[in-house]
Amino acid sequence: MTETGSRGRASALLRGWDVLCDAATGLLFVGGAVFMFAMVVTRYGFAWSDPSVEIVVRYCMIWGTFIGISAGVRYGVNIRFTLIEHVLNDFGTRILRTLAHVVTLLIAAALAVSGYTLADETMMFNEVMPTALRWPVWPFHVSVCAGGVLLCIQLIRSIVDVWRPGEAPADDAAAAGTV
Amino acid sequence: MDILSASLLLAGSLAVLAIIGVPIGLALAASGAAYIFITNGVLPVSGGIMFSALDKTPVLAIPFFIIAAEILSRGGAIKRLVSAVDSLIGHLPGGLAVVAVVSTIIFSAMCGSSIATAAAIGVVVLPELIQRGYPQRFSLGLIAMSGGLGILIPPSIPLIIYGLVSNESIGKLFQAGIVPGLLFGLLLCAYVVVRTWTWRETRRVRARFAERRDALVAATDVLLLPVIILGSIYGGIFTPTEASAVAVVYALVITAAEYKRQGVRRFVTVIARGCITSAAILLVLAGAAVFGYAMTDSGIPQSLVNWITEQKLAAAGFLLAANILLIFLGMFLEVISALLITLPIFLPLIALMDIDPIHFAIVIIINMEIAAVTPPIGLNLFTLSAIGNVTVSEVFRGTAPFLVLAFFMLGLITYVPEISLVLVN
Repeated sequence: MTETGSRGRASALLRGWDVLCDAATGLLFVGGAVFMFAMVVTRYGFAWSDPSVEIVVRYCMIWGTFIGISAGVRYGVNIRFTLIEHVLNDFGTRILRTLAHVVTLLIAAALAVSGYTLADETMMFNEVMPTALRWPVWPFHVSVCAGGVLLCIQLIRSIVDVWRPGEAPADDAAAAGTV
Repeated sequence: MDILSASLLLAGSLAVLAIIGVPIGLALAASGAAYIFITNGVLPVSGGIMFSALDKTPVLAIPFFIIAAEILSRGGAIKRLVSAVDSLIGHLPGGLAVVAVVSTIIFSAMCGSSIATAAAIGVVVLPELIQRGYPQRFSLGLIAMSGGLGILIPPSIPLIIYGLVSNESIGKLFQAGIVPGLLFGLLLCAYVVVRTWTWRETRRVRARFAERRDALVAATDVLLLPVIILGSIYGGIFTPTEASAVAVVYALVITAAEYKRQGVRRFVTVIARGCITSAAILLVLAGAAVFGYAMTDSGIPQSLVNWITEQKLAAAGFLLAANILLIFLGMFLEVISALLITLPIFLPLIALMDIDPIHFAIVIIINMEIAAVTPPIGLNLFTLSAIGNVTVSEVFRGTAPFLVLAFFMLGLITYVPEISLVLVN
């Protein structure tokens, strides 16, 4: 396989991975909203409601949040202070952005460790949901660890992207047009 | 660890991390975690605090209202809303500028964010304002400032966050925002009418009955949404969280035809964008919980309470000091970060001063409206700068006259609590 071919394949894989993360985030949030809506309908329409639904929706949102954080880095929508970047030249901006990404990478790694410990402890104590469902809680606590890991992967990619030739990528909410 | 060292550690590490550009949510979490690690020797607890901060049902209202607003604004609903309002009052003094404010008030009753409101209204109204002959600077300033109504008129995301942190009823906080929001909207309309009185060329020809009827029929579904959201909350039918979920589904239904025309790819992009923006805001909420835990553990808020008690500061003086601090912080921090950083300090102080926490919430929100249009970090300025393709300083120059109105409003709301509390009481 040629170098260009393997690079193209890697790039396509990464794009696929991004689409998967975006789709998961969207599904978890919108699915949560639809579940919540369905609960309202069943409560008024059929006089039936299950508090477990509310908890499952909350957990969907939490999973969505921790997956979405890494996508937030990719789209430049995470809320950050960018004033210094605006007064620096292109090289200075790249240096500062690299520093920010490296420090964030360390924080993300700590988040992953913290999330792993949290999930490990709840698994060890066999913690379950406080409603009739009695589902174990650890699969939801794993979201913190997963979020940290996904963030680490995205930040490594962002560090590489910062040093790609061409203009430094737009990295604030307004510039990215995501507001 | 003594109070001074704890303050230096928390504030210093947060400032350094924020300045180098670490996302605020992670900077807050890291500063709090550093304190917890140094004082208690445990790091893993931070993940649990972040999880617990999000594991509350009212938090769901934040992403749901954001997603609903995103679906509506990109799905052509705002265009229909503005057309209906324009056909009704576009020929009156103030013309399209008043239409912009009235449309903002109506959209604010569906959307809880000032940036989203400014962006949604700005994309539709700004080109039309300029085309009808309104000065560009005036148009930019008007939309940037009126966008602030998005966080004052319920539903409001900062008010939901205030309710979560302070344990105040979100329904009551929403109620408290209605009168100040409408009052500020009226003030903006009055200013616009006076300012544009002689700009007769900007007024449109009075719409024919058939045109008005058609525009109103086309916008009926959009106009019903605020009625459904607010009516159901105050009618005791839905909680704010349930109302937000209903808003998402309703927004999907009323924009379905437009998204069918735009294509699936566009629809998925809009949904993903709304969800990822929600995740970014929830990250700040989760990170602030770790920071707040560290702050409370360090005893900083309690020391401040003791210090203020010793100074025998009156409530009026405290409110003035709080406003100055919030305006200063608002220049550098966006709304949610400023709110979450200051609340652990303010809440014990307002209890000490016997200030109604619901009234104080509205004072904070007006400050945050001002923050959204003050440089260097005024997000509404950035938004309008991107939409109008002009410099941020150009937008700020346009906003300056409206800022005078905002400061007047701040003084009024701060020292006449009845305005905020009239519906609550």
